[in-house]
Amino acid sequence: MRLNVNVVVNGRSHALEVGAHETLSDVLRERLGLTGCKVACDQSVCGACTILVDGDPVSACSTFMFKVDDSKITTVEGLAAGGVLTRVQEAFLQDGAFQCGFCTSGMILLVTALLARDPNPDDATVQQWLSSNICRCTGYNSILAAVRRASAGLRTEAAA
Amino acid sequence: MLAQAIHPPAPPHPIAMRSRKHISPFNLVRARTVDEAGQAMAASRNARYVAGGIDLIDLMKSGLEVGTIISLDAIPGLRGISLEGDRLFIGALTTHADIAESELLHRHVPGFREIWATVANLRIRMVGTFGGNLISALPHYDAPAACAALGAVGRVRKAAGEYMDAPVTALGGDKSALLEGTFIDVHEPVRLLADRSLHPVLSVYLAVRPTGMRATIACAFARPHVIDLPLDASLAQADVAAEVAASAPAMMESSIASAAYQRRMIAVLLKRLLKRAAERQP
Ligand SMILES: Cc1cc2nc3c(=O)[nH]c(=O)nc-3n(C[C@H](O)[C@H](O)[C@H](O)COP(=O)(O)OP(=O)(O)OC[C@H]3O[C@@H](n4cnc5c(N)ncnc54)[C@H](O)[C@@H]3O)c2cc1C
Ligand code: FES
Ligand code: FES
Repeated sequence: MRLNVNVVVNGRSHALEVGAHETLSDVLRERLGLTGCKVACDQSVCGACTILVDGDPVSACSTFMFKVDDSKITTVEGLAAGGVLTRVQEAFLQDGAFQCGFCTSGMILLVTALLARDPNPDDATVQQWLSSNICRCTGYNSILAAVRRASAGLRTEAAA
Repeated sequence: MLAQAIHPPAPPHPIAMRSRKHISPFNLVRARTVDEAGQAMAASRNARYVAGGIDLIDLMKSGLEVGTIISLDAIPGLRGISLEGDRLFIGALTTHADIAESELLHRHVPGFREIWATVANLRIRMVGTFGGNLISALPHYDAPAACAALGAVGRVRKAAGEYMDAPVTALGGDKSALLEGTFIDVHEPVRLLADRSLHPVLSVYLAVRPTGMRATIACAFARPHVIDLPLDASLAQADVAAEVAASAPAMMESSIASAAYQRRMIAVLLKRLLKRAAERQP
């Protein structure tokens, strides 16, 4: 069955005709070329495919496209405006919060969602959020450091 | 040649066989009322309701074919937590994240919110629903265990159109029944404790009311094993916990934990919960 689905992806409106059975990760990667949405476990475990739906972190691999009709979707490609990295992206670079990079787009979106809700999360909250996504390389310490750096940057920005 | 004869190629691993490319096409109905959803179910062959879709999409990636999927998203009133008289109502489409953030639930059933902030992962909590969890009712799922401890009942609409209240442990068998939500009796104070430290090998829940306690043991059985305990059970914690463990029915086969280990751990986790109940710890 074919359906019409309207979505705003990274600020751009798309009216898409999709199969009811198509997943969000396939449409993002194969129709819209947004390959920053990685697919690894394909069953909502690892978080490599994390994207934001109306600001909430969601597994694109386990979401039917029809579920996101009329939603705003953000992928990692939609973060940097005019080539200027966000505070979270900049912090990941500065703290070397990645090695192979496969988890990184999902991690950056997860942290972006966390800091949008709570710009100054305590360590327990940060750990609880990060425990949702799997990184096999870093041991998480550099990611934790990046979250602290981005959070401090946001606070300075807010105070200025 | 010889090597091939001695080591025939292994069959493909089931995980390698599951893929979103396997999801077969289906018709989609977006129901606007419970009755419309029920009518669509009655009119379709091989139909399924869908809420968050996490379990259904996973089953379909492994080859489950569904003729029609009936989406419940647009039906008003199925998402949220409300107080109806002295019963709390948790709508079937309430997400795990909604539960982990609910002030009302926290006021009436202290402990529930904190436990739910540890269920699954954040992405699943954002999308996965309490109702979907109760209907799927896999042995390690938390909603059936928590609801059984609290003596909750589910409000379902059967395919023929009649409504009925059913114990949560009886939900899930009839795929054509639509779950509207779950009622928890809060006419007397009740708090919920859980030890999920061994999940998904074992989890133990304990609901504590002024009139008595109810424990449920999940993961090791097809359906949560329910035990009613007198209030003074929290005084003889070790004895009660050992007795419950010894008298629990046979465990399911598990590839990650032996039955002897699970039975031993029932005693350990239940004793911890009884101690917390006695000391009024959260
Ligand atoms: C990595 C991972 C970790 C997890 N960890 C945990 C955990 O720690 N604890 C735990 O409890 N769960 C866990 N889960 C399971 C998760 O909580 C469930 O997948 C989720 O709650 C299912 O809800 P859903 O809305 O997505 O269900 P859906 O996939 O939409 O539906 C599930 C089933 O219920 C039926 N259904 C849905 N809603 C209704 C309704 N209102 N009436 C009738 N039928 C209905 C559907 O037809 C389907 O058969 C985990 C899952 C994953 C993938
Ligand atoms: S690929 Fe989606 S969660 Fe792992
Ligand atoms: S950087 Fe390799 S998995 Fe995280």
